[in-house]
Amino acid sequence: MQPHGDTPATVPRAPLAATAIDEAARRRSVRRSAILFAAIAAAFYFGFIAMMLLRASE
Amino acid sequence: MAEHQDHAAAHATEDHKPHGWRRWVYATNHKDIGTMYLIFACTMFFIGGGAAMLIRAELFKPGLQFFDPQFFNSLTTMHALIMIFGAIMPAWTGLANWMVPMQVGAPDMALPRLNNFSFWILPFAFTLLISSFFVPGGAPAGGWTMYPPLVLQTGASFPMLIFSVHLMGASSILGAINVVVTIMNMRAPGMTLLRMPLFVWTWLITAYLLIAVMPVLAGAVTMLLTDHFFGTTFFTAAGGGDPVMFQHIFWFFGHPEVYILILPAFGIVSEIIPTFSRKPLFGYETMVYAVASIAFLSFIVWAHHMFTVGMPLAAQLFFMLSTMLIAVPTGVKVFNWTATMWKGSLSFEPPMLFALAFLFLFTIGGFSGLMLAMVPADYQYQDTYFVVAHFHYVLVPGAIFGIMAGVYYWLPKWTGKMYDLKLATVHFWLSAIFVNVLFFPQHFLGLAGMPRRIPDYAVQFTDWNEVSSIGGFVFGAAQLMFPYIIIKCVRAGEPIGNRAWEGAHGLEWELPSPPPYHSWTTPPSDAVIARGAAH
Repeated sequence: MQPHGDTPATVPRAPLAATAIDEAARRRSVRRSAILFAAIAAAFYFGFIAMMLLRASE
Repeated sequence: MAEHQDHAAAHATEDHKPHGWRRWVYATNHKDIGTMYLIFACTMFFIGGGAAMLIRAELFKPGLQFFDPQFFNSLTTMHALIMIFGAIMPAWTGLANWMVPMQVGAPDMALPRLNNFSFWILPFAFTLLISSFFVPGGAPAGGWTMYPPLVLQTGASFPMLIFSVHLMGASSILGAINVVVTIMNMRAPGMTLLRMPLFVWTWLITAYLLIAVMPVLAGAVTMLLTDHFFGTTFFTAAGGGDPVMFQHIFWFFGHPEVYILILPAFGIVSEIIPTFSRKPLFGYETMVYAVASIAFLSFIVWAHHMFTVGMPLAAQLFFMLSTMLIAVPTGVKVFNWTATMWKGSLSFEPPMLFALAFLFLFTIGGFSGLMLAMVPADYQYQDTYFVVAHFHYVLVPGAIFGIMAGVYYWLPKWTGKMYDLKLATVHFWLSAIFVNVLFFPQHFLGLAGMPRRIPDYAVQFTDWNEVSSIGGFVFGAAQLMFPYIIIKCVRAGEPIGNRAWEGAHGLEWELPSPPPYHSWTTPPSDAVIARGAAH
C-alpha cells in the first residue's frame, strides 16, 4: 500500500463541537484531580519510609 | 470595530507560537514538549547504546580486553539507568505528550507549565548522572538495582546517583499526573472512556502505575541516602536493619516499572495492527480489561525477582503462581492482535513490520519469563545470561520496537511529510535480524552457566559471545538510520494528507498534517468522535 493522501493538508480548522465546555468547571476539576494525585504520590513516598521506621522500632 | 474584528480573525487562525530559544525553554505546547522529550530520549538511547557497544566489545573475547572490572560494572549500571529512565520512559512521555491531547480531542495537556517543568528536570538529572564518570571512584557500579550493602560502597558518585534518581522520579510522577488529569478532565464531550484509543487507555493505566510506584523508589533511595550519610541503619544488618527489605521495596517498584515500560507499546501495537489489517481491533473491551489486569497483577509478583534470596515455601508458591497468572491477560492480547489480522487486508509498511516483530519477539520474552517464574528452574537461571536474554527480549523488541513503530506510524502526521519507506524497511530488517543475533545466543550462554555482570568468562562461552557481539555491533550501527530517516523526512519528505495511512482511524487523523499548533481549539463533534472510535 502506498501512503494515502485523501484530504488536502491545508484544512484550516477542526469540525465544530456540538457541546460547549464549561471552562471554569473544567479548571476546578483539573486542579482538584492534580492535588489528589500529588497527595497519593506523597502518601506512597512518606508511607514507605514510615513503614520502615515502624518496622525498625519493633 | 472592523479593526478589532480583523485582529480577532488573525487570532483565530494564527498559531501565536514564540520563536527562537524561548519557544523551547518556556515551552507549554504539548507538541513542542513532546518533541523535546523524543529528542532527549533519542540522545539518551545513543549514549546508553554506546555503553552497550563497549560492553559487547569487552565481552567479544574471554580475558580483560579494554576495561578494568570496576569500569565494566559502571558501564552495565549506567547502561541500564540511562536506557530505562533516560531513553524508554521519556520516549513514552514524549509520545503521550504528542498524541494524548490529539486523540482525546483536547487543545493541550491539562497542566502545561508542569509539563515544561517535568521535561526540563531531565537534562539536569542525566547531566548529573553521566558526569559521575568523572568523579573520584568513577560512576556507580553496583547495578541499576542499587542493592545495599554493595551500593553503599559507591564513592563520590553515590549522592549524584541518589539525587539524579530522585529527579528522574519527580519528573515521571509530574508527567504521570499530567497525563491522568488530562485524560480524566480534558476529553471532548462524547469521548467516553470506552471510546478512547487503546494508546490513551494504556497510558492512563501506566500513569496510575507511575504515581503508585515511583514514590516508592524515591523512598527507598532516600533511606539509602540516610544510611550512607546520616547514620541510620534501614538496610544495614549491623545496626539492626535488613538489606533484604531493600530488595522487597525495590522490586515493589521494579516489577510495575517493567509494565510502565511495556504497556504503552501494547497501546501502539493495538493502533497499528487494525490500521494495516484494515479491520477494527478484535475485542477492544477485553484489551482494556487485559491491560488493567496486567497492571493489577504487576503489584503482587515482585518477589519472583528474589526467589534465591530465601523466603517461605508459601511465599514462593504465591509469587510463582501470581506471576504465571499474568500469562492469561497477555495471552488474551496476543490472541486479539492475531484475530485482528485474521482475514484482514494486510499490508506491511514499516510501522506494521515493527508491530509484527513486537508481537513475535515480545512473546518469546514472555515465554522465557514464564520459565523464570518457576521457582525450581529459577534457582538454575538466577544471575545468568538467561535473565539478560529474557529482559532484553522484553525491552528491545518489546519497548524499543514499540516506540519505533509509534514514531514511524505518527511521523507523517507530526511533520505533514512521508518518510523514506524503503530506508525505514531496511532499518526494520537490520534491526529485526540482528536483535535476534544479539540476544538469542544469550539464552544458550545462560543455560550453560555464564553469569551476568562479569567482564571476563570461561573460555567455553567464547563462540556465542562473539556471535552476540557481532549482532550487537550491526544492530547498534543500524539504529543510526533512525534519526537519519527522521531528519530526511523533516527536511525533504513528500507532503501527505490528513490520513497518512488508508486504514487509520482516530481523532488525530481528522486534524491536518502537520496539526495546528493548538490541536482541538474547538472540540470535535460527536460524529467525528464516533468515526474515529471505529474499534
